[in-house]
Amino acid sequence: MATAVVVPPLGTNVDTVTLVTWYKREGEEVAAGEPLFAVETDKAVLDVEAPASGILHGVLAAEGDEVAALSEIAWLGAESEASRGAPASRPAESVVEGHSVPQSHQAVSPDSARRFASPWARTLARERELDWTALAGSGPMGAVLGRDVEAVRPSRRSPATPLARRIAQSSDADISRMTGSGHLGRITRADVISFSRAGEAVSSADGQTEPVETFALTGIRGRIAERMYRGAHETAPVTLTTEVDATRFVETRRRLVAEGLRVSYNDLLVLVVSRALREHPRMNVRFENDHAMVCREINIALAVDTDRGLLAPVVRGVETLSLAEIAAATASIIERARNAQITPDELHGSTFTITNLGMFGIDAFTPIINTPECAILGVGRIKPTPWVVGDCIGIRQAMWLSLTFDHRLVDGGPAARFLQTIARAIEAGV
Amino acid sequence: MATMGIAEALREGIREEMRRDPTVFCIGEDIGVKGGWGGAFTVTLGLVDEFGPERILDTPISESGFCGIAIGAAMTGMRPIADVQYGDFLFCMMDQLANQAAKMTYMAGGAVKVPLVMRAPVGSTRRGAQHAQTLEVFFTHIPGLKVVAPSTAYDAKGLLKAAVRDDNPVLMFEHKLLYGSKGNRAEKGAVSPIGEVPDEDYVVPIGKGAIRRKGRDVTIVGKLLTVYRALAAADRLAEDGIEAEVIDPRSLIPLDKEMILESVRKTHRFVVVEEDNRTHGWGAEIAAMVAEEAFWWLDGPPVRVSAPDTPPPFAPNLEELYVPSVERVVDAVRRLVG
Repeated sequence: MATAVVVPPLGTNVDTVTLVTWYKREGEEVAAGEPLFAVETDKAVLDVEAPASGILHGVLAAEGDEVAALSEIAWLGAESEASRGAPASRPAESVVEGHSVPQSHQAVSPDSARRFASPWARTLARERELDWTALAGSGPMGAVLGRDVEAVRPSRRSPATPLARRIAQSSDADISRMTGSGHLGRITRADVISFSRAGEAVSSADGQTEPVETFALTGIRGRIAERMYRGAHETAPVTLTTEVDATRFVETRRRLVAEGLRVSYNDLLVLVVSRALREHPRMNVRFENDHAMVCREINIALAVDTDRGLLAPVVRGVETLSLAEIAAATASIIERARNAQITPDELHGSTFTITNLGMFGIDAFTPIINTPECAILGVGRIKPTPWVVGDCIGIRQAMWLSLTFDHRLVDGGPAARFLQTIARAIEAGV
Repeated sequence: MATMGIAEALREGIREEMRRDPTVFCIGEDIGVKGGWGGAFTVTLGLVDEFGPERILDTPISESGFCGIAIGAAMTGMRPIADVQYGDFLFCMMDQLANQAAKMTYMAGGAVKVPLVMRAPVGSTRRGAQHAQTLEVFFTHIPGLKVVAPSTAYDAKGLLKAAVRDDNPVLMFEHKLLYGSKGNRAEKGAVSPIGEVPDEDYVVPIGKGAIRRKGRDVTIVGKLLTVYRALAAADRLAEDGIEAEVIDPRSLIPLDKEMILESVRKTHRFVVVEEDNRTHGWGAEIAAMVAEEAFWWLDGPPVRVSAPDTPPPFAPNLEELYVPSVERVVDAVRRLVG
């Protein structure tokens, strides 16, 4: 019976080795256990012994060739087998000496050709184009398990979590150079970050341009990345936009300021939104553990652009606050967010978020939901706009509102009605 | 948010549903008797004071009788919440449940609905062969019945409310060691899953499982008490670096198959822990489902940790051996992971 000559797996990270020397020539006789050929890894040159006695046939690899671990490069058999196309059987003994067939396997099954592999091992072997029968099994009765396949041929697909891939992509880090610490060696977000920190990863993809600056997604940036990713990918976001006549809204603020109450547009928006939320409680939601929790308390987060990145400090219990109290609370948290004095508690527990890009001349946009909330209101600039009033065209202070909501939790109709409530309040001047 | 056990959570759930909907009423044995316990496990305690004996309806000791009344009431537009003192007595009303309640909608081509809730305490609690069986699987085998098995106070209230609002007959199994009942109805060796229960109206959808612990090495599915056995085993396995994912289906019919299959495709190993008798049991069905639908992801055979094929023993030392222990779960996982 012919026996395959197989390149042994020489460690978990070695896919190919260099064949250095054949000690026997094609047609020459060799005894089991005699050195048959030598291979070189990145660490050492090793002799490989003949797995059986016989004549060396069908030599496929020449000295100096790169050969893949577990590939067949010849077979041993009788003289008459010189012409057969491929070896008939590839018993495990030929591959990894010593630990190929556990004792229990022989004790249970006298037929040493009968090998076992778990369904998962077979799945992996098929995916990775590997013959599992040539592997040493670590399971009961010497069965080949998933981990045995993993050990000789780690996945060639990029074994990274979607978040890790995304972060790596955005920082141009080469995922193929990283080692994973996750399940089955998967590369996780932490791996990408520590690799980037090590300073060897970040460069442009083709290596032709040097980056001016590199930064890792750690700290606040890392949290923003995670939250934005989650908001964009783990919700069913839909954005509704509407243009409102904010003339009276602007007048209201002017009047209040003239009366000595220092309020910002944001303060008025917080008030308008909290009243709308009270009318539409299903928009005031935290989605946790597969449950949408409709909250009694209205905690509104305000997106604040700071030197350290985007922060969303929370004004709590808005439904119980007067406008003056809202103004005092927002002024205080925004200032502390900008001065890095905000406490983690003040960044948690919001039920709704307002983000205002009006000061940057933005009209409408598609904000990302601040999970675990259900919706976020994007506020655009207020600008004088030709406006149809009855049969005339006048100049009104127009403002765009963009509401992104999670369609899993609420439908378009109720979300539109909520936005309409806000729009009407603004048009009525709060 | 209030903190409470399952018995209290069920009571609040029943109270809210009865306040919400005048067609909801309770029927059972000793559920409203003055000076009584409020059913065998205090669930209906005090409800008669608010709703009166017309809506907290005490019946003679005749399971088949009051089950028939409840089914008839359900068919004519009421929403009864019936309960048996011990799940074992469901066998007395088997014809009513299996032949009438479950089949009526089918036989009437959908013209008749049976929005019945039948609550039943189960589980081995030193009460022996006729008061401590695990019965869920008898009913999961009957098309037309929905079967739920809450293991936390939150789920108990949420599933009870979902069951009352469901137009199909729903059997709700409750484990005696999980009620968290107080006073002279406190159980020896109880786990008391006291948890936070919102004051707001909410339901836990029937058919949706819960991952009680995340893990990558093995998927353990349990229900009722065995969820807690699985969680305790997972803690112990974690000391050896084995991370078990623990799934509580919460609802047995319909079953959140995809949650289980998705987990197995990740961990490649599957163990089901049940207090049921092993042969033709609930675990057998879950294991078969995993073998059929996640076969190519399995790195070892699906494993059942079950009670042996005997009635629950009365002797405490034998009962210890009967109900799957944390050690047995740990042992099964260790052998599987290798």
